Amino acid sequence: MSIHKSNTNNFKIDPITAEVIRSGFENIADEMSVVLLRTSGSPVLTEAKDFSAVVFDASGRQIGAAGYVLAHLASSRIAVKEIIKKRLPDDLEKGDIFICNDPYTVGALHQGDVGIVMPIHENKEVIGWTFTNAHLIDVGGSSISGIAPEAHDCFEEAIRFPGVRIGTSGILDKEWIEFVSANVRVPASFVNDVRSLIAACHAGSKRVIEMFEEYGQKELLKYIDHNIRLSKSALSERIEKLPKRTFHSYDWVEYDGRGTPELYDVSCEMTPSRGKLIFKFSGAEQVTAFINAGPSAVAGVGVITPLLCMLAYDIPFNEGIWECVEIDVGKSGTLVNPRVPAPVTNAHMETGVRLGRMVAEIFSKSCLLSNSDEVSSRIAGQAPSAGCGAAWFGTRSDGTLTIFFPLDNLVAIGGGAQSTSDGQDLYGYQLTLGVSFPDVEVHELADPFLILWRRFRINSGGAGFMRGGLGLDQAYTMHGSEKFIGSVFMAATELPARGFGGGLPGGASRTAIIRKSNVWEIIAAGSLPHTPESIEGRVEVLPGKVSNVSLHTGDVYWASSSGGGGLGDPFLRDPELIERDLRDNKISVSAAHNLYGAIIYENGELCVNFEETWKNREAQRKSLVPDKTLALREVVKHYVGKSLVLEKGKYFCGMCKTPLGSKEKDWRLVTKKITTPLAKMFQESDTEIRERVTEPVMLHSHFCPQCGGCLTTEIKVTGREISLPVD
Amino acid sequence: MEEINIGIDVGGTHTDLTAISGLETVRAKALTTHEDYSRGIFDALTSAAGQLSLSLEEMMSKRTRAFVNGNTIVTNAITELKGSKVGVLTSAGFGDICRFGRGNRGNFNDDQLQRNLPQIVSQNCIAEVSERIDKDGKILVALREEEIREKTEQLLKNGVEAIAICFLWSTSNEQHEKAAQKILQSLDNDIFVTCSVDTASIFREFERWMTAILNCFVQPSVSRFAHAVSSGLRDLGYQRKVEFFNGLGGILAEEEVKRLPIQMYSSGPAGGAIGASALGKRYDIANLLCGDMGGTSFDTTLIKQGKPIVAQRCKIGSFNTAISLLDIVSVGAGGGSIVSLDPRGVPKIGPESAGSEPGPVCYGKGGKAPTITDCIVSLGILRPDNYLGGKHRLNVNAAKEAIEANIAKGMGWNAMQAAAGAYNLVVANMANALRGVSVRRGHDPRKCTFLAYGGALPIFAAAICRSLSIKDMIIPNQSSAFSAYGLLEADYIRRKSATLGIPLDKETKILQLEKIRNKLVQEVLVDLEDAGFDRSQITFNYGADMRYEGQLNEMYMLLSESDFLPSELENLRRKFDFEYENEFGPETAWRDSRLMLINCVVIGVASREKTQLRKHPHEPHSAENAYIGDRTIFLPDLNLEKEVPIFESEKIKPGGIIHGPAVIEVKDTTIYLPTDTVLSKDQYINYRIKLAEKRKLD
Repeated sequence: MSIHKSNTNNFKIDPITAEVIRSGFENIADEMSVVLLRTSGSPVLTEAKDFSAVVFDASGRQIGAAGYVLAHLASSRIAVKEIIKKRLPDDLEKGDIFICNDPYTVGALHQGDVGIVMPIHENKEVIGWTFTNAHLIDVGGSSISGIAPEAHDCFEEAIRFPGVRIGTSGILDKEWIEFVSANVRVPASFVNDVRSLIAACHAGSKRVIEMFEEYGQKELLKYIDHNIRLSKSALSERIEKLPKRTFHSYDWVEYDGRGTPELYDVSCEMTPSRGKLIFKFSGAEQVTAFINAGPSAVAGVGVITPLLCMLAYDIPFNEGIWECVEIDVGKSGTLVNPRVPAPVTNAHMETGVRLGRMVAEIFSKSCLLSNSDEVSSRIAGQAPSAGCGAAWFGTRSDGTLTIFFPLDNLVAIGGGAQSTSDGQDLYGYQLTLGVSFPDVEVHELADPFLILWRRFRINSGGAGFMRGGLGLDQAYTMHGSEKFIGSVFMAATELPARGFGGGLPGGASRTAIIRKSNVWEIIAAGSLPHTPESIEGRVEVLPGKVSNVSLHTGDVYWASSSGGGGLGDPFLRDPELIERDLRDNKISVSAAHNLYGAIIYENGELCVNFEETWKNREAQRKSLVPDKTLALREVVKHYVGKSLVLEKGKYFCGMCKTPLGSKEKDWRLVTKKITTPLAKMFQESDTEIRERVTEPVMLHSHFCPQCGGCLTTEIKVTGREISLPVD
Repeated sequence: MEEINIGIDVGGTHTDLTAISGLETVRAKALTTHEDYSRGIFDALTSAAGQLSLSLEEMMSKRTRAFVNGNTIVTNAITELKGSKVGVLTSAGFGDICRFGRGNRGNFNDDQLQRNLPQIVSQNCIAEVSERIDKDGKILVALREEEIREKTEQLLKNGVEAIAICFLWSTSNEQHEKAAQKILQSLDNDIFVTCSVDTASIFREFERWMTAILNCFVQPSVSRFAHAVSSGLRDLGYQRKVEFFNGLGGILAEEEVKRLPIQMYSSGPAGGAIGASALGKRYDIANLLCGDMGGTSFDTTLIKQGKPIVAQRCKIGSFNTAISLLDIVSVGAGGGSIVSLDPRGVPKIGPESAGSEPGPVCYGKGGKAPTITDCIVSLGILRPDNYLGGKHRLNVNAAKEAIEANIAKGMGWNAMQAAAGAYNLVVANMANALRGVSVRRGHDPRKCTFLAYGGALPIFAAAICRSLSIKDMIIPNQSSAFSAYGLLEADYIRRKSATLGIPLDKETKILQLEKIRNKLVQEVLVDLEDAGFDRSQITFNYGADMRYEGQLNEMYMLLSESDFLPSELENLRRKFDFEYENEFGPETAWRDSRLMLINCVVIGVASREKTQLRKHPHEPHSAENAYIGDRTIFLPDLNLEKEVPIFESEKIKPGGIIHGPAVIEVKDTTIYLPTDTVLSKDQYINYRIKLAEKRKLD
C-alpha cells in the first residue's frame, strides 16, 4: 500500500496530528523508562540498560516503545497478548498488576527479565496496556542472576511467573512479597525493583489517559491505525527492493557445560513475499541445557533485532513492523521451538544470537543483490553478540554479602564492519542499544576487587576492507576478600562472528583464571602487573559454560571479549589504515602481515610500506590465481565493499566487474577456492579462537578468477553436512 | 553620571550585548567572529557606545562598572573537536579508557550511524605509568619519578601542548597526581597541566579524566581569548574586573578561566537561566519553564522555587564529564533546522541544520533544503524586509518553491499547508522537550509560567503554551539579547566536591563528613578571596550525593548546618528517605539498606551588586496607536489564510493591550499572537501573554 492511498481513505487524516500523536506515545514510553531508571537500584538497569517500557492499545498492539534491549519488543508483545487472552473480559479490574518472566507462557526473553503488565482503564473500559520489564539481579533458582549454566530443566533455573496477578488497585500484595522474598537471594532489591516497574506503569497509564481525553477515543484510534499503517508500508516498500528469492544460512550453537564441547545445528531461510519477510527456522532437538530458544529469543533476538538495525533502521517502530514479518519455527521440541522442561535461561545469548547472526548474514546476502544503492549499502560483517559473562557471590571485608556482576566483558564486544565504516568498538550485543559498563572505580568502590587492566582486545576485529569492531580485554583480582564463587558463561569460543563479502571472522571470546598468581608479590615489589605476560601462575582457560568456579586470593580472572566480522577482502584495505591500526594497538604486526598482506618496518614507530604491501598482496594472489590479469591496487579504486553484483540475470565480480555466470548457476564454481583451518590461521595471527580438535572449523575462501580479490568466505565444520540450497 | 553594566553573550552566529545604564537599557548585536572571538565583542561594544552617544574609550574608561562575558567558545571547540594536542599520563593498564570510555553504542537502531568516541588524544600521546592507589587511598604501587620524567619527555617530543594527569583513585589520595604535576613543571615550566582531581574530586575515572583532558584541549585557545578581551579592555582604559561566566551560572575571574576553562562550557545558555531566575523574583513567580530558540537548537530549563536546577556529571558533546552545569536540555529544533520527509512520507524536523552557512533557502546563500525559517517566511509571519532589523532581505519565493518541491509535493499538499505542518511539528517537538524538563523532574508544566526568549521563539511560544495547557507567558523585551542581560544578574559561585564513599551507619562517619566539608569550605574561601571578596560576603550551601547500598546512581540532597552534627544521624537518614520518596514516589525508599554517602558538595556564593530596573506606569489601554496595517498570513494553528493586524513594538506603551490574531514586529524578533490570546506590555516593558483554555480537537 502506498502512502498516498492511505491518506485518502474515509477518514480525514492530518499527517501532522498523526506524527504528534506518534511521538506523544513514544514520549510516554520514554517517561516511563525515566521513572524506572531513576528509581531502580540495579546496575543491570542503570548501567547495562537492560530494561524497557512499552505502551499498547486495547487490542495489544504496540504503539510506543522505549528502552535499550530490542528483543524486549518481542517479549512485551507476547506478554500483553497473553494477558489479554487469559483475563478478558471478566477477570480484570482497574489497577491489576500482572507479573511475567516465564519464557514459555508469557514470552519473557529469559527468567531474569521480570515484566509487569497493567491495564489502562478509562470509564471502566480498557483503553490500553503498559508494560515494563527489567533484568533483575536475581530471580532465585540454582544460580545467581537468573542465568543457570548447568541447570538440567527450567525448574532448576529460576522461579517462574506465568502472568499472574500480584496486586490489585495498584498495590502489591503483601502475601506475595513474603512468598517471593523467601525465594530470591536479595529480596530487598528484588521487591524494590518490582515497585519501580509498577511506578513506571502508573506514570505511563496517567499520560495515556490524558491523551485519550485530549483527542477523544475515536479520533485517537484512527490515528493509531494510521501510524501503524505508515510504518508497515514504509518497511514493505523497502522489502520490495530486495531480490525476490529465498536466501539461507546455517550455524551451530556451542555448549560445553556437560564436559564435552557440543555443537547443535540451526538454520534459517528468508523469502520476501508481497512486502513481507517470511522466516523459517529449524534446529536440532532441544537439549538439557540453558540454550533453548523460546519465542522471544527467536522473534526478538533472531528477527526484530537485525531487522531494526539493518533494514528498518530509520522507520519508527510500532506494530506495523511486526505486520511485515512472518516466523515459522517448525515442529515443537527443538532448539528453536522448545517444550517444558527444556532449560532456557540463556536462550537469548546463545541460540537467540546465533539466529540473529544468521538473519544478519541473510540480510547482507539479500541487500548485496538489491538494485537500490541505499539497500545494498546495508551489507555488514556479523556482530558477534557473544560476551564473556561472569557473576560472583561472596563477602566484603566487613562481612556483608555481595553479588559482583561486572558487565564489562559481557557487553563490551565489537560490532560488525559496515560498508560505510569500520565496525564500532565495544558495540555490545546487536540487541543492546546504548549499552555501557561501569567505571573501574565504581566496581572497586562497591566490591572487593582490584582491576588490573582494561583495554582493547588486540586483533579482535575481523580483518577486511572495513575492519570489524574490537572487544574488551580486562582482568581483576580480589582485594579485601578471601573467596568468591561464581559462574561463567560465554558464547562463540569456536565459531566467532563471520565476515561478509570476503571479510574475515572476528576474534572469539575467551576467559581464563591465572591460578595462584604472583600479583600481590609483584605489587609488593613496587611494580604493577598490568599485562598477562607480567604475571606468573597456572593459566586455567575456562570452558564456555561453568558454575561453581571459585576465586581465591591471588587468582586473576582474565576475560577477552569477541569482535565483529570484517567486510570485504582485507587485501583491499587501505595500507594507511593498517598503519593507523598498528599504532593504535588495534592489530598486531603478525595480523597486519598475515591477514592484510602488509609489509611493515620500524622507524621510531611502526610503519607500513605502501608500495611493498601492494606488491606483496599482488604476488600472493598471483600464486593463487596465476592467470589473474587485473591488479588489486587498480580494482580497489572503485570498490565500496560490495563483492558481487547481479545485473541483467548475470553475476559479476564486485571488484573488477568480470562476469561470473548466469544467476541460475552457482557462481562459486568459477572461482578459485582455498580451504584453511581457521584455528591455525588465527593462531598464526595472534587472534583469539578455541580450536575444535575433533571437527576442525574450516574457512573456505573464494577468489575472483580475474582480479584475485576475495568474493566470499564461508565457515564450515568438518564432518557436518550442510544440506541447504546454494544462494 | 550613570554607571554602565555590560553583559555580552558570544553565540554561534551573533554576539549579543545588553548594557544597563541607569534607567536605560541598550541592546547591540554583532556577527560572531570565529577566527578571533574578541573582535565581535569590540564590534558590539562600539555599537552600544554609539547608541549611548559616547566614544568607546569614554564608555569603557569612565562609565563602565562591570563587564561580564558568557560565550560559546568552549562549546564550539568541543563540538567541532578543534583544540590543542593533549598528552595524557595515566595509570598503567588503563590508557585506552580515554579512547573508549564506558562503551560507544548510541541508543538508536541504525548500525551505520554507530561511531566510536572521537579520538581527541592520539595513541602516541597517551603514556601509561606504573602507579596504583586503591579506593581507600592506600598506595599499592608507588610512583617513580624517573618513569614520569622519561614518559613526559617522550610526550613533549611527540609535540603535546598540554598534559592531563589521570590516575585511578586520585580522589582518595591526590599525592601521585600532584607529584607528577611537580615533576612535569620542573621539566617544562610553560606547559599547561591539569590534574584530574583538580577538575572534580569525585569518583568515576572516565568522567574525571575526560574533564581534565577536555580542559587541556580547550585551554590554549580560551586563554588566548581571555587575554585578548582583557588586554583590549585595558587598552580602552577599563580598570575594573573583567568577568567571565561559567556553565553553572556564576562569575569567573580571568585567572580561573585560564586555569579551568572547561567551566565556561555552556555559559551562554546559563546566562539566560540566571536572567530567568532574576526575572522570576521580580515578578514573584516561583516556577518558570524557560525556552530559548536560536539558529540550530531549542534550549529549555526549569526554574524551580526561584532557582535554576543543577545537573551533575554532564555530557559535553560526545564526552561524559564530571562537571556540573545548569540543567539545560537542548533539542535540534532551531530556525535553521531542515524539514524533510522520512521514509514513511511524514515530515520531520532536523536533526540536520543549515546553520548560518549556507543557511535557510530564503537567505539566498545557496541553501537548497527548506528550514523552519523558510516555513515561517512562507506563512507570512516573518516580514521578508524586516529580518535582523532589515539588514538582510529574505527571498520568500525561493523558500516556497523549496517547500513545495521537498515536502508538499510528496504529501499532496500545497506549500502553505506543508509550511503550517512543519510549524506545528516543531511546536510539538519543543513541547515534548519542555515536558522533558518539567515532568521528568516532577513538575506539572501547567503550573508554570513560560518564559520565551531568543530570536525565533516568540513566533512559536504561544502555540507551545497551548499544547502544554500553559496559560501564562512572558516574552522579555530584550528577547534576543536576554542571555546577555542574564549575565548581569549573576553572582560568584564556586562549587567544590569530594568523594567519600562511606556507609553512614555510625556517628563517627558524620565527623568524617564534617572534616571533608571544612576542607572544601577552605578551598572555596581561598578561591573567592582571590577574586576579591572577604569572608563576610560569602554564603555557603552544602549538599551530598547519597544512595542506598546496592545502587549505582546517587541522588543529590541539600544539607543544612545541623546535618553535620553526629547526633543528627538518624534525622539525616529520615530526611534522605523522605526526599527520595518525594523524587521517586511513595514506598520507593530502600528502608532496609544502608545509606551510602558518596560525594560531599560545598557551594560558596559571593554576591555582586545588581542593577535595579525601573517600573513604568502601565494603565491598561488598547494599543491601537501601534497598529501599522494588515498582512495576509497563513495561520498555522487554524490552517487558513487571513488578514492579520500588524503592530510595531516601539509604539506600544506600557499597559498597551493587543488581542490575537496579531503579529508584533520587534526590532530583532517577531511575536506571533494566535487567536484566543491577549498580550499586554507590562511595567518592565516585557510582554505578558495570557491564553484562554485549550480547545479540544473535534
